[in-house]
Amino acid sequence: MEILKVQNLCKTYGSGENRVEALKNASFSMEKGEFAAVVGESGSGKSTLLNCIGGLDNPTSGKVFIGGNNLFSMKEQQMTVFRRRNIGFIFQSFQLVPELTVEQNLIFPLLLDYRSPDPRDVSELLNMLGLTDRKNHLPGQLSGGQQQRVAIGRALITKPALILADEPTGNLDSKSSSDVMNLLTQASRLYRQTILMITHNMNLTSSADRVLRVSDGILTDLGGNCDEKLS
Amino acid sequence: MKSYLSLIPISAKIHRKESRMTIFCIILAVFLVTGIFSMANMEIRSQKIRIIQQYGEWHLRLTSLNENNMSLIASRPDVSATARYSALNYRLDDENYSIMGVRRADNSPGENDVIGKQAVICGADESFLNDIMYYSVKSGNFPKAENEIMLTNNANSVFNINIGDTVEISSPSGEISSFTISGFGDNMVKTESADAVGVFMNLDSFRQFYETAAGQELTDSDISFYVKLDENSNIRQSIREISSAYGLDEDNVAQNKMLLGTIGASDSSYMNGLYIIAGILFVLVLTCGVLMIAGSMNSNIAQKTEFFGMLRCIGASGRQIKRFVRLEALHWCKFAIPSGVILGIIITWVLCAVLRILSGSYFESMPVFGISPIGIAAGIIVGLLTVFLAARSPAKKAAKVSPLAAVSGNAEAVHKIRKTANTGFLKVETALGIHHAKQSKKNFILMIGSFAASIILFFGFSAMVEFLYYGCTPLHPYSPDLSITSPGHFRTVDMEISKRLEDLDCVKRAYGRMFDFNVPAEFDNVLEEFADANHTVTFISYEEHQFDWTRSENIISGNKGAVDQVISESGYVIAVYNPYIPLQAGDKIKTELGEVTVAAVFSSLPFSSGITTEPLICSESTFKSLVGDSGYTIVDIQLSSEATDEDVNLIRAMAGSDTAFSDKRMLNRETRGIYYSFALFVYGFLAVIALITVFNIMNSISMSVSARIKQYGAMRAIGMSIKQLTKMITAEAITYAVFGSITGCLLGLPLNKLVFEKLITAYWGDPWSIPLSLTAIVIPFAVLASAAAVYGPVKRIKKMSVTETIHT
Repeated sequence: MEILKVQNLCKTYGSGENRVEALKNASFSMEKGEFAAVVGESGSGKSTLLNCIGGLDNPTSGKVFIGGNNLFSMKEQQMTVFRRRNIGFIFQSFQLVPELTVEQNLIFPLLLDYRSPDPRDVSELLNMLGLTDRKNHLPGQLSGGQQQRVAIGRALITKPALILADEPTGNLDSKSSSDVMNLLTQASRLYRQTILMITHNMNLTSSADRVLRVSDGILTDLGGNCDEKLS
Repeated sequence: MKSYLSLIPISAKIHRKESRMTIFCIILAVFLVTGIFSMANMEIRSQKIRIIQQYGEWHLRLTSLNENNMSLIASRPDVSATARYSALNYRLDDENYSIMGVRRADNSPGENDVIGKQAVICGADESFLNDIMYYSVKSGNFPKAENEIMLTNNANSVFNINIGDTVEISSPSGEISSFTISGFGDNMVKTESADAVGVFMNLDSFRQFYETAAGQELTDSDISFYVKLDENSNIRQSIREISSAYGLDEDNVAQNKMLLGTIGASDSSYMNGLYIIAGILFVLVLTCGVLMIAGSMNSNIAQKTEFFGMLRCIGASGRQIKRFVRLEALHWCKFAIPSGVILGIIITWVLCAVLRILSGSYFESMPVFGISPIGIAAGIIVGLLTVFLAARSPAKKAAKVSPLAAVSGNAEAVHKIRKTANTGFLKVETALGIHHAKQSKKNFILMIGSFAASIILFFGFSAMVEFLYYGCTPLHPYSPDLSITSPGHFRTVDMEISKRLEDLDCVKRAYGRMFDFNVPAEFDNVLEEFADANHTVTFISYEEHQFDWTRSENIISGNKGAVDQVISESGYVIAVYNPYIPLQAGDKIKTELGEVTVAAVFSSLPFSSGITTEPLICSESTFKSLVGDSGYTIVDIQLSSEATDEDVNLIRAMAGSDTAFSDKRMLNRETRGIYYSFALFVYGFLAVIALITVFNIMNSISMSVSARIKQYGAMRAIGMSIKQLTKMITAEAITYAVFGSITGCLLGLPLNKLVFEKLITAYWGDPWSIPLSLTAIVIPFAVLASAAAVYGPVKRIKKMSVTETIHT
């Protein structure tokens, strides 16, 4: 089942001599439960790709379909609600709400949607993240790895169609990075969660089902995981 | 670029949007100071002119000086003018000083008319009119020859006399002296309102008249010697020197304290009190200005944390950053101060024009397009001083920005979180908004303090406005322009005159009252210490106009139907609050003329009560049944706006010569003028306080948003809508408003009660009640302030790029 479909996505910044083509006709699609990694050098356009897929940035041309819905045909408010319900975000710098506890941060997207969380789901998720005993702590009282785990939980709570992870291990040590990657893989396998992850760490692509490379705004599908391809 | 400071104009250009609010705050502070000082300066200038017009331009009035000493004082270099002056019947309390007859030079009809108008007889040097009183001679000349006099202009119109005619003036000795009219001068408030005539003669003629009238010689103690000092000299020292050199004690030296007050040379405690109030206001405005600009600059710095972090990263020292921030603030002054000064001048012109429109005659001396150097200087100095003082704290804050901030963005600015937001009962965005408001205790207290301070001042000042309304008689609906009174306060004014007067186009209303003074009476309830005193009542009759006005007065005891009861039923009266004779509705009062029942007790009536006497208002029929048939004691007249002096003369003629005529138009204009200028000041001050509060809240919300901008970006990314973000910020602002309003009301209401009781209850007996209308103003004000405070940050968030915010 096709969850994400990107068609001829272009993004241009500036004009005239300052014109920069950050994305050039990027097209690809992802099936349900697929875990893809996007690799590329700094400034290659991978973050622009992720922002456009997440509806955080508007492409110059092209289309993005999530679950069959054309993202950029929606109005601002409609897109916000769509994003809240269908896209989970994981950021490099966690971006948790410092005034909310672990549990509150976890259910935050549901609260924004004025929905009551199912306590069993929350408990199960906390258990999976290994944060049950930390559920009443504030983000400031957690380590970086634990904070990122909360952010993963927050992305999973709405059971979104797609999770977009922007360098999720960029601020973490190797142990925490490995934990986070295990969690993402587990989510992908256990919940058949579709995940698109940006990374510049080639080692992490081993966990992914598929690798995409962005270079100078041009997207290339490398197929299975990067190591596999290289080998 | 010559130095790192050359970055200031470049940075100003780039951060123009962020700096806009700070520049606006500086403009506002300078504008307010220029406006306040210019207005004060204009007011003082106009007051000085008014005081000179009303009381004369003299600084010292000396008595018991001989001629020799007078000429010695006149020759002092610090004395610019002197004049001798003496008067008889100045208080208009001796009817023996009257103009008894007129003999016209052309022997036209009316010869030997017996007029009997009371007169004030003044003897003075010509310089008294020219240099001290600026009293203008309308026609003819100042009397120079013996037996020549000059009369106030009202004599010309009332008696239809001219220069060269002869006037006979009586005196208590019974002798009648004849004088030839040499000219006519301006009217005087005193003679005009008492329907009397002012008579001027030179001092030699006056000396002779005095001897005839008083039967004794005019002594040194009867002559006042007016001294006008040079304003460039040390006036206080000159006064001390003159007093000590001629051995004059306090009784012989009088100062024109009002005039001295306007030039800052008064030593009176009242004037000093005013100076202290002016000083306090200055400090208050300065403090508010500093707080407002500092708040705005802090907000500005919070938005530029990364910029300063970057400067620190590339090697700028903390001291250099401080210098940068201070000079940047002064850079804004280049535009903000001249703009503030220009706006201040314009608002002064507008306010002067408003005052002239509201009360033209009172403020006619106020310049419309005047420039006040003091106001401009104050604006510039306060502007620079405020900016410099205000820049201190943000400069320190900027210097403390860690280089890490350049890398990690503004996240550092958020306080360390210790408490969690309560999302259990409220929607998550509302809960977070409230939590943001209460997160920093210091900021929360400052914010609600700022709100509360404005509300407290609102409550305090509003009681002062009410006091002014109570105190200024011409503002009451029953205030007359003219009054026709029965001499000796008998009841001799024809009752039909009010009807005849109302038929005139120039008369808006005419209403008469009958008085029966000091009727012995017995009250059931009087204060113990006055129980043995002889109590009296004064019966006063009202007609329909006066009863209608009474309906809007506050009733202390009784109900609203009381007025109708007094009109329709005989034997019922209205009493006024009297702390010495506590009356209640339903009380019976036994008087020598019969028993009456109190229908209601009013807090305020145009007649005041005394320790042993109480005014009682009744209908004309009740009055006649008690006292018997009679005429009016007084008929009050309100003129239409088109009424002219000729109309007043016509009414005077209708009143006849057997009544006293009083023209109160000039006095009313003055009181109205005082009311308007005071009200303008009070409300202007309130507006300033309100504006400063709004700006403080705007800055604070803006700062809070700046500090959390990255968080908001993330929230937007994970699905928070703009509407929800707006709700969150609104919840923060509303939290300040609600807590501030509650604190303000809790502290402001007792203050309002205290001021009200001291100023109003003590004199008029009106009990204090919760000013609901004022409280109803406070709530929309709080909501408006919050809405205004949210508008800017929300606009910023709407423009916020989620991706840029997250990735900074």
